[in-house]
Formats: sequence, C-alpha cells, structure tokens
Amino acid sequence: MENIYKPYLMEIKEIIDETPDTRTLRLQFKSEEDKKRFSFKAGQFAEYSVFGEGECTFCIASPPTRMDFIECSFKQVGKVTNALRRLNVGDTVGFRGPYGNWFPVEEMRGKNIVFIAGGIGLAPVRSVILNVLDRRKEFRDITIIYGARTVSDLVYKRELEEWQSRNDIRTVVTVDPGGETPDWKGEIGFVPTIVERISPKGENAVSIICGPPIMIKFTLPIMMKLGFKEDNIITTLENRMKCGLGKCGRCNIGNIYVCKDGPVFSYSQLKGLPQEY
Amino acid sequence: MQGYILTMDSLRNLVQELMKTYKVVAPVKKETRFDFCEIEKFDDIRLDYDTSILPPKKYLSPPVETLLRFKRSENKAEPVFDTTPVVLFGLHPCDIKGIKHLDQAFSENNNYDRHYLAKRENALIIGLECLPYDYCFCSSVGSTFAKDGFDIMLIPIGDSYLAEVGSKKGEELLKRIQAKPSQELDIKKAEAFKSEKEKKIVRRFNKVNASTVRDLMQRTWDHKHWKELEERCLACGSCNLVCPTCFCFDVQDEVHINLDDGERRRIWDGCMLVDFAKVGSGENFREHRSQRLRHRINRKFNYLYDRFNSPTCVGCGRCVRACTVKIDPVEIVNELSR
Repeated sequence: MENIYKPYLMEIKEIIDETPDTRTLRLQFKSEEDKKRFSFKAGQFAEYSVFGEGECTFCIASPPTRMDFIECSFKQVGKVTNALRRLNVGDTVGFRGPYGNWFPVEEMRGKNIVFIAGGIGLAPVRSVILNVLDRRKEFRDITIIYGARTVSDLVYKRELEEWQSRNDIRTVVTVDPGGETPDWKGEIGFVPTIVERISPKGENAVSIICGPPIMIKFTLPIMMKLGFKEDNIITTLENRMKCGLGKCGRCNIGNIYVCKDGPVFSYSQLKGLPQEY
Repeated sequence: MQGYILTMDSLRNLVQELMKTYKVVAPVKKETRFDFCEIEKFDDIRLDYDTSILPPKKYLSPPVETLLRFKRSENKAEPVFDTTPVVLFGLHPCDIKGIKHLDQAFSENNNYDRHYLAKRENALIIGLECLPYDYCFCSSVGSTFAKDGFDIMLIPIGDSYLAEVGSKKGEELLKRIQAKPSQELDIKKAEAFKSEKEKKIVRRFNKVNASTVRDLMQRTWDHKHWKELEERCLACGSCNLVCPTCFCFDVQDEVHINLDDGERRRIWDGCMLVDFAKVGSGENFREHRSQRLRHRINRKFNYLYDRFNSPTCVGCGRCVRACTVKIDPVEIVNELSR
C-alpha cells in the first residue's frame, strides 16, 4: 500500500549558517530513483523531518533550475528545528513534497519584477529570484528590496552581495532603524518606507512580497499607490501545517487550505479571505 | 425500501455470525451513558442507546494512530496499516453521515490516506434508525435519514427490525442467516417509525435550513454574537473531541525507551485549542476564543460546504452535551438569524 506520509531520505551535503539562529541545509536525495522522480516549481514547500522529533514545514529555498540539490532555510524555534540544527553533514533528513502551488514565473516573462522580502521571508522569494536570474533574458527590469531587523538578521548575505554587484538587476538592502552597525553601507529604514522611496513602477510589473505580516500590511497600500494591480501583487502564506496534503486542517482559512490552494496567493485572492494569516 | 425482516432472535444470530470473523463494535452501557465498545456477546449491546459519548469515528480514525515505525540508527521507516475486519453496529444515521464525510476527507484531491482507508475498507456498517434525544438537531442539517453509507440499516418495527440493504455485502450477510424478505406491512411500519422520528425532532434552526445556513454564516462574519460567545467559551476543545466530523490532526513522533525505535503518530487535534493556528514566529492567527469558535462553527456550516456539498455538522448534538457552558450550534444559528 502506498503511504502519503512516508518521507524520502535526503543527506545533508552542506550546512550554511545565515544568522545566529537561521541555518540553511543543502540536501541531496539518497536514492538516485527518488532524485530522478523529483521535480518542483518555485514557491512550493515540503515537510522536513528528523525521526524521533517530528516534521516541520518549510519552503524549498533553492530554484528548480538547480536540481543537483535542494536547500531549505529555517529559524531555530521549536522541537524539530532544534533537532535539525543538531544534525551534521552526512546525516539524514526525511523529506516529503513538493506540495502546494507556485509563483506564476511563466506569466511573469516579459514583465518588470519587484521582489520585496523581510527577514526569513526571503527564503521562498530566493527560489524565484534565482529561478528568474537563471533565465534572466526572459524578464525585464528586476528590483530586489530586502530588509531585516538588524544587520546580523540578514539571510543569504553572500547572495545579497552578488546581486548588488550585478548591473542587470537593482538590489536594495535595508535594516530597521537601530539595527545598523557602524560600518553598515546599506539603507536604514523599514521595508515599506524603502519601497516608497524607491517607487518601482506598477506598469507591466509583477511584485512578489514575502515577510512578516506587519511588513506586508504596510507595504500593500504603497504598492496600490504605485499602480500595481491586485492580481499582480503576489505573496505566500505561512500558516501552520502538519500534513501538506489538504487533510490535517491546520492551515484552513475560510474556504481554502493554504497547503493545497496556496501557499502562493495574489492580493485579490487574499482580500476574499478572513484575516487569519 | 425493500428489505428483510429480523426478529430479535435472527438479530442475535446475525451478530453471533459476525463475531466469528469480525471485531464487533456496538453501543454498550457505560455508567450512566453509552459508548461504542468491542462486545463480547450480543446481550452487551444496548439497542435503546440515545447517543454515544464518542462517535464511532474512533474505530476508523483513532485518537492516536501510528503512521510509520522507524529505527533511528538505520534511518528506516515502515508504514503501518490496520486491516482488522470490524463491524460498526448500531450506528445512527447522523454517525453514518459523519463517516461519509471522513471517507471524503481522507480520499479527496487524489491523496489517498491508506491508513484511514485500510480500516474503512475492512469495516462493515450496520445502522440503526433512532428517535431524537435531548440535544440532536439532525433535521436542520439534512442528516435525519441515511440513504447510503451503510451495509445494512435496521429500522425498529415493534418487536422486530426491518433490515434495509445498503450493499452487496449486507445482502449476502442477510441471506446467509436466512432472513425473511419483508412484507408490505413491515415497510409501512418502518415508514411510520421514520415519520414519527421526523415529528419528534424539536430542536431546529428557526429561519435557515441545511442549504441556507451557509449564506447566513457568510453574512454574519462580523456579528456581535461572536464577541458575546468569547465571554462564555472556555476553549477547552470538548466539542472537537466528541464531534463525528472533526478530522483535524497533529503529527508527532514518539521514541521508545531504547531511544532508537519509534513511531510517527497521528493525533486528534482541535481548532478550539489556543495553539492550533500558532506559528513558529509566535504569531497566533486565531488568538481569541471567539475567533476560534467562529472558525469551528463556520467549518461546520460554511467553509467546507462546497467541498462536501452539505454542512459537515451532522446534528448529533454531542458538542452541546459535552460543553461545560452549553454553547449550542442551534442557538448560535438562531441568534445570528434573529
């Protein structure tokens, strides 16, 4: 009998510490067969597990254009994320997925793209950013606005530097007031403020926004003012999930389940839902 | 309503026949109330039970259920399926409908939950027509009678039962015990029993019905009554616990004392509990009791309506009985539609 809860086994190939409490694992399928069968799209998520500790839901933070490995980034907050942190290179992680829908990358071709992310919200956005950068020619202007509470809370620092050095994209990195260090060269200010200052044009543009609910709440009205259409403002929801398959009920909001109807939603879709995200 | 006639003796025969190959689960007396338990003999069964403490759901989706067994040192995990043949005997129509909802929940979207389905496919359901008790309101949610979802349905007619056939398995079983086909008079008696039942259901929605209660829920999202209920609800989750159609679950790992073997288990969860919608960042998307109660009631009457093509509440009344402060879906609906 098939078992929808049975995890595939993956090996930790590399561990990257993003911040003092956020870590990225680079994972590879242990079985060649599983690796061949696996495919996903940017924005999808998975259930990661450590036997004896439990399962946890994270997005796949690497892009589908780089299939040698998959990456996930997580903050140490509970039982499973603490257990994941205790693992070393060579150890095994359970993995089942991919689940959920994805960012409309194909529909974004020929358009300007504005990525806005806060804190660890950069993880799902990074999958699309890298996906889009791997296919750079298919898209027009690309703007990345990323912020974190403090300099030490910025994730994917090596990539931020790389993006900032490229001249075919615009990358702005900011920290909240008070979160800067003496040698900080980036912006200082909350993400919505920086978005307003940079004022990306809403015409022929798609925006992908991901971050703490409070950041999204204050960024949305600015996007509307900049002329972004509600259908073209896209985010992913991070409700609690247990099964990823539309069964356990944990991620239910109104008549949708985030795991199967999302996690990717446009602002126009969100407007019809109870504000429980 | 073609069927067979079962006298008390032939019913006893039927159960004894079943006990040879099945684990037979039926309503039995438990102190002052009734509950579904595995029986040892026919006389354990209480055909006159009003309702059970827990719905028979627990035999298909148990409170704690092993999904996988793993060995940590070897990184091996093997799924666990329970294929014990079970008879669920004496289920009232509301509980039969509840199981139909579970069947759908555990098999929709092409995601077949074999852990549930293995049990379900090995279960035989024998229903029993009933009369209302103090708390039920099945007529308001369209679950007064069961048209399907059973193998045999028993309808009391005086000293005997009319056995309606719901499946091939059910028919074979009745033939095996040489039950006699029903006569026209038996069918009339059964119909009379059902219409008496319908008349006796007094607890009901005043202004809406099974299909319009959804619109009411959508219109009353911001109704002040939800805030009033905040003051009463204790968020204890008793309503979740006794509901035949609450199928939300948590997944947890349990390690044995050797710290190597263990199990990944599915555990009943409850949307009324405070941390149900809490995420890792500490944010709680339904922090207040009124939000959680509104969520629960909306799940039963509104949110899942399109998926199940009916309310998912089956009107069994267990939640009202279990509630310490007697929060009652009928009262909520009537207050919202006032």
